[in-house]
Amino acid sequence: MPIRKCFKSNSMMADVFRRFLKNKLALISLMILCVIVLSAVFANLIVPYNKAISQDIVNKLQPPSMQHWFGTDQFGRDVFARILYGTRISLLIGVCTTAGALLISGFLGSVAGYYGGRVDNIIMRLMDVLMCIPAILLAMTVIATLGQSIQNMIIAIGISQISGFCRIIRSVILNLKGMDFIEAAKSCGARDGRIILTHIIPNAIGPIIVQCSMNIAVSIIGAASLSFIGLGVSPPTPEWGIMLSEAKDHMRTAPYLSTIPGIAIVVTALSFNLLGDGLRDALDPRLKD
Amino acid sequence: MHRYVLKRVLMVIPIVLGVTLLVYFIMDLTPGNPAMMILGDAATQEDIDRVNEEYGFNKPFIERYVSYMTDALQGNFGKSYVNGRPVMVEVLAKFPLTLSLAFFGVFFASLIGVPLGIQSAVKQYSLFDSVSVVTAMLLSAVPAFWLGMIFILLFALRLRWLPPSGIETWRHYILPVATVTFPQAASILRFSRSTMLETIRQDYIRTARAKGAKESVVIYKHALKNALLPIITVIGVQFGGLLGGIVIVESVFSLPGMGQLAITAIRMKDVPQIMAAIIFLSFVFCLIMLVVDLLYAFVDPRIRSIYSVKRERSSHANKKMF
Repeated sequence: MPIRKCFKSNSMMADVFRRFLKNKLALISLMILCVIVLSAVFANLIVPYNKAISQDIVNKLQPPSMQHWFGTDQFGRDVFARILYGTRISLLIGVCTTAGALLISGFLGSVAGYYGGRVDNIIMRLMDVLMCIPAILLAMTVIATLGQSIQNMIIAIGISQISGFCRIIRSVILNLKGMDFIEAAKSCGARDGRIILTHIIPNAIGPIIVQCSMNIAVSIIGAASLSFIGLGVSPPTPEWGIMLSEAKDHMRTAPYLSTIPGIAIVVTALSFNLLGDGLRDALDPRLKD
Repeated sequence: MHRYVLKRVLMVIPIVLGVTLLVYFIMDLTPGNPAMMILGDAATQEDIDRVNEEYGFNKPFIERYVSYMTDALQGNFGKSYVNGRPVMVEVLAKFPLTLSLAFFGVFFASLIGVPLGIQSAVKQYSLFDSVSVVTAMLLSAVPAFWLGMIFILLFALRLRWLPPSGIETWRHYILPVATVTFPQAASILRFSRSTMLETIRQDYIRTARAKGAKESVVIYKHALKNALLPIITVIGVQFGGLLGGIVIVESVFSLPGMGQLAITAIRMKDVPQIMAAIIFLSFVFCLIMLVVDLLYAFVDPRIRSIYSVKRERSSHANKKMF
């Protein structure tokens, strides 16, 4: 029998995929996330946008019913519609901040990790400075300067995440740099660019994806917090943090207004966290616990 | 050891300078004329020129930063654009509330999180472990401000056990402190559990077991002592981070702390006040990190030995420490 047939060979991705499928919690959270993403994308097919912003004072503060699944708020707007369109904003902010922070810190972190020495020192001292300003305060400072809007919120939260991301990427690259296969590539005469692109990035991508997933959850919570204190997107935009902030005045009469948007945040953030956990276990089973 | 302490203390200076430069730079980008902010819209060009001259708004960035820092080092952080009072006075008046919330939050969170996390690790895969891991996971996805709202809804409005806002009596502090405590306890629990699990698998634990030590001695003497070090660091980092995060919790309970100060200042575009608040909190954060690092070095014989035995500068040791 040829040797090839004796050993069942699997690609790394197939292994990862198989391990991921075994993790029920991660699989469920992936499904929930699919539902969330689809409902955000096709929100206008489910409920017209008008319902989320047009006021209907006659029907204000109605408890959940068949007509208004999640009830109506103090202006008679449909809470279900507002939650649905809020998903769009939260996902947009979560994904964009993470992508932006990843791009910048990916560059800084890999340069610092790969070249080491003085470059590393300069970049990491800068990150130390960024790290010393608590994330939410840094985001608030940026908002104070740029003003309130979705774009500025993305920039603000993105900046506050760079230092953490950069540290992780640097440590991943530092670990990889010491590996034998990088040494081998170097001894074959591969240039730095080639080593980084074909050897380091494919091996570093796993832990980075995991970090991204967790980071989206942090961004979503951060965005809601900023909107809650009135420094995020401005009303009447349907955003979860704003909805909670407005619900504060009606806690006694309409408690559902302050519970439903919170549940939306928790479910979304939890799903991203569990997905990240699942991916980490699937990518590197040694890391489990 | 002295060299390490000295080196670590000196490291704070460039970082604090960096923080002030960064915050000053960001705030400097704020659109609008600061002289107009002070004088109001009805100001004449002459008045604006006079204020520009008086405050030095028309000087180049570096010059302004240097003079700001020179004043700041003498304790003068400028006056509020809005009410003309020295900004540091406001900051120092509001800080004790924020600090005490953060302190009690982290204190109770450690009391809950560390023992539960360690028990969870020791009894890995038991029912206790699963329940605490799931609860911690859930709590880590809950925004602190929403937890606060749920507490108000439940304990203040529904059950009427506790007041929903204010700071008159100690009862007023229970809900805010609880709001800060639970998410922190969750993350301390998760970290303690994973650190303890890692420690239990070390060779020296196997050695301790092999020489016949009792399980309780192995866990509480050999493992716990080593696992506690990284846990202390994380608690320190959380304490520092909380000083920022509490800003949001304060707003839920309408507490007059640093959060309210910063948010009002941002709304009014009161630049000196915003800068003083942020720089002060970041400075305290740096100090907490310093204390944690020094504590760490003091407790961990590995770090102590590097500096007390090997006098010569080892690049490896430096890399590990900073």
